[in-house]
Amino acid sequence: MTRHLLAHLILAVALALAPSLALAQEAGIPSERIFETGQLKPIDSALKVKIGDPAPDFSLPTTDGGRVALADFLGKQNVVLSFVPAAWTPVCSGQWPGYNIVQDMFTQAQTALIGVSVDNVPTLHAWVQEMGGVWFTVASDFFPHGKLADALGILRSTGEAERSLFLIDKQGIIRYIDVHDINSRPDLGPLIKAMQALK
Amino acid sequence: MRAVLLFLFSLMLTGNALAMEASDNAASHPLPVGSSMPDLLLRGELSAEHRTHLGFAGPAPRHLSEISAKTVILVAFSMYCPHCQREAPVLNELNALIQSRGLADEVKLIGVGIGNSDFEVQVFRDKYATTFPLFSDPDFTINKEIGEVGTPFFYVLAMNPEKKEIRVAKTLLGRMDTAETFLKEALHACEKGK
Repeated sequence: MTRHLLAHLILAVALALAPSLALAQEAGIPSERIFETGQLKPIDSALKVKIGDPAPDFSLPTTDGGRVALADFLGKQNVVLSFVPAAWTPVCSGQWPGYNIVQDMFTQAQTALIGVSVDNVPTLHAWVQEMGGVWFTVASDFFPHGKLADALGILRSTGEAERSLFLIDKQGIIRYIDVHDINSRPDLGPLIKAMQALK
Repeated sequence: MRAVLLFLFSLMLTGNALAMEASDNAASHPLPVGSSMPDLLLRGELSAEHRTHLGFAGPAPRHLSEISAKTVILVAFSMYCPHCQREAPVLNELNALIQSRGLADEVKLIGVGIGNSDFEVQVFRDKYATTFPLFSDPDFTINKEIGEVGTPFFYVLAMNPEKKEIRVAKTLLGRMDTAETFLKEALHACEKGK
């Protein structure tokens, strides 16, 4: 009898708990799982490229198990590289989920979005899953550490990339750069306008 | 048996905490119920229809106290917050409920995009066909005044133009259970505080 009652109780709790766990899964990251960085030096690197320069070539591993290279897009699509400093940190965790609702704007502007950080692939995978997933490619500039970030001149002295945006046209030329204060999120408006101007 | 029940009960509590659904802010210190809300300067782009709805004499920026209403429901949101993205249709439901109950003159729902530029607020407005007025807060000025809240955060405000007072009647961090229960509780809280 006791065992019977216990089985019913477990079932009842499991049913009661299921919706809340499902909601938690699709929700953003709970604050206790985010590492508070405090205020950091706004910019801690010196750009090595400028608008009009050819973008450095890259081939990076991605969270879907493949690789992404600049060559994949030449002559086909413009590319936005969205560098964030680190997984599991406050501003970064609140930046990419916003890009989730503007996929149509990227499609209309024939622009591929690639999210990049210097974290390794498993870390990026876990973090993106925790955010509820994103529609765009997420690539790791982990090894050789920050090679692409360094080629662009956005590798900080502490090894993270700057929070920065690069728009590269179909010819591989850099057309827009925003190396942003690491402590704040860049306004989406100027980037989208730059993308739309390329069409 | 007792230990098992205790375990199951604690599991239920954990589940509920996970389900709060808000992008919380560790530095958050919301204005308590019963306190005064500063007369916020509301900025952003408003349609002529929304200007008329709020009773504004002209385009934004306008002060919160200029809204012609007995109750203002202010929701702090962000285009970047996934919880707010999911709450957007329910906010439209809440606005529709206010209209259908004949409360449109008394109760006004507004949104403030915390850390969002006009462009970002417009993205949210377009994406979710938002039916109520949205303002922007690109430099977090409003968020500093309202206690650096996480999002979504609801302030139900009792407006008293005679006393030049705006009183916090109810607050909520995270998504509403339903628009209907939230509206009921909001109206009750304003009534109770009179």
